[in-house]
Parts: sequence; C-alpha cells; structure tokens
Amino acid sequence: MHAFTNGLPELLILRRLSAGEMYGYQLVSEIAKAGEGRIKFSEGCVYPVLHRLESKGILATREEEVGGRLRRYYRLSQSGKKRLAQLLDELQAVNRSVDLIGGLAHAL
Amino acid sequence: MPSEAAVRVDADATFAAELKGALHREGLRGAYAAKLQAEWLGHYANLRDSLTVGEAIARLGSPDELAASAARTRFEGRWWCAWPVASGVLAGLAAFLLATALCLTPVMFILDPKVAWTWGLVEVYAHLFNWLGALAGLLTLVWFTGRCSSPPPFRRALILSFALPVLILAMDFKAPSGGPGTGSFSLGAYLGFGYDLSPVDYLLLAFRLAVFVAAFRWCRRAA
Repeated sequence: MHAFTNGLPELLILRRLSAGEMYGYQLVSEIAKAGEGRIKFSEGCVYPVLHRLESKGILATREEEVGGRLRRYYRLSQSGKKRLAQLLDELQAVNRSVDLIGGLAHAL
Repeated sequence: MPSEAAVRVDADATFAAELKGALHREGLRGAYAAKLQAEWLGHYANLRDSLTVGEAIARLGSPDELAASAARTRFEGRWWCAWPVASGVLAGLAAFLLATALCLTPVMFILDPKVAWTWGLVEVYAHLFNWLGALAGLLTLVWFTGRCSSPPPFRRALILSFALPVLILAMDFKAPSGGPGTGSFSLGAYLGFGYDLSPVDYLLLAFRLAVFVAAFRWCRRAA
C-alpha cells in the first residue's frame, strides 16, 4: 500500500499525459480540474517528479517559446506507456483486494 | 511612491531569490537546480497573471517547501544519500588517496625520489606539489562539489574528511619523495626525531599554519 501511495503522483501525471503532450502549468491545471478540487497539492511539487520520470526515460520533452515564455512540453515515451499500464494493473489489484476485504468484513 | 508594476517586479525578484537560496540550502545545484528554478518561475509567472503574490505562492508552494520536495525526489533511493555522513567521509578519504596517488606521487617520483631539504629548483618544485598542490586539490574539490547536487551532510563530510588529512599532511615540512605526507613530518622535529629546523624553517612553518587555519575556516564555511 505504501508503495502504491508513493506512486500516486506518478500515476496521475502519466494518466493525464496519456491524453497527449502538456507543459507543466497545463498538466497541473488538468489534474486539478480532473480531481474536482479533491486532490490537494503544492503545484510546484509536480516538477521534481516530472524531471525524475524524464531522467528514467518514462517521459520525453521538447521546448517551445510561447509569448516570450519558454514552455517545456512533456509526453509519454514507449517505456512511459508500459509504466502507465503497469501502474493501472497495480491499482486494479489494490481495488480487488479492497473489494475482497470489504466482502469478508460484510460476511462477518 | 513606487508604482504597482515596480512592486510586482520586486516581489517576483524576491521570490526568485528565495527560491534560489532554498535550492542551495537543500544541496540542489548546477543544471538540475537551474532547470527546476526556470520551470517554477515559469509556473509562478502564469499564476501571477491572475493572482497576487501571496495567492500564487500558496498555489505553487513556498520556496522551502518546493526545495525540500525536490531534494526528497532527487535523493530518495540513492544508497549514498541514505547515509550521507558515512558515505561523505568515505568519498573524502577516497578523494584524498586519489589526489595523492594519481596527481602528486608520480610527479615527485619522477623529479627526485630522495630529495633533501635545500633550496634547489627540484626542492622548490617539490614543495609546490606537496603543499600548494594539496591546497589546489582542496579548492578544486570544493569548487566541483559546489556544482553537483548532493545532500548537504554528504558534501560537508566529504570536504572536511578530504581537507583534514590534506591540510595536516601539507604541513609536512621536509622536502618529500612523494605527495602529501610522504616526507618527514614537521612535528617530528618537536617530538625529537632528529630534525633540526632553522629560524627560516620556523617562519615557513608559521606561514603554513596560518594558511592551514585560513583554508580550514574557508572549507567549513563553504561546506
């Protein structure tokens, strides 16, 4: 469970980026919008995670200047797509376990 | 009275400076720190288009909070960051051995393996490598580690464990046959090991001691 909760930011980021490439501000806004305000986090904490994923080859980047500001776009690499599939599998396994425990508790 | 735009520029500059300081305190340096800072400031600028400074920082995170989160993400899972002091001491001693073995000893061996303490060219050269070479190694280490990200306790332990043996052995007074510590240790004169020092020698020794103290204080500040 600890490993899963540690991987939550990564899962959220990869899930949003599976829709297409995004720059940091856009990605954070998308996560906030999708979470409907239920996910509380300091927006800046996303960037170290993005850089770690980039250094692992899970994300690829490109830079573009828009309106005088440099934007760094992130997208899933091939290994990023595999990693996302793996994290979703783990999430489903956790869900099944929770359901099972819930069922047992109900039977008792 | 300063204009609203000027106040905004001041507030943004203050935030950028605080961010830089917080990254430095957490041991994040070089290209990685520059990239993080650039993205945080870009994000902050986007937030500032519609929010006040306080609101933007509340959304983005305070400089200390951001730097701490970046340090956690950067250093977690690295074995040498799990025990930063122990690995720093080991790295410092390894750097010391490397500096002695690779840089100093071969040069001195080629010059003269059994040199005596006289003011000949070889001996002057020997002291340059034995003493100034060691100090140059120390300065290089401080400069180099100042450009690489590492947990602050690691860097502190690395520099101090390199500096102590290098600076103590750089007090080695008689012309050496190798790098730091390979000549006759000057304290031997006081301990009655048969070395006679002239007044000029004592003067030079005092000079080295002064440099030792200054360099060590500088290292502590830098670490």
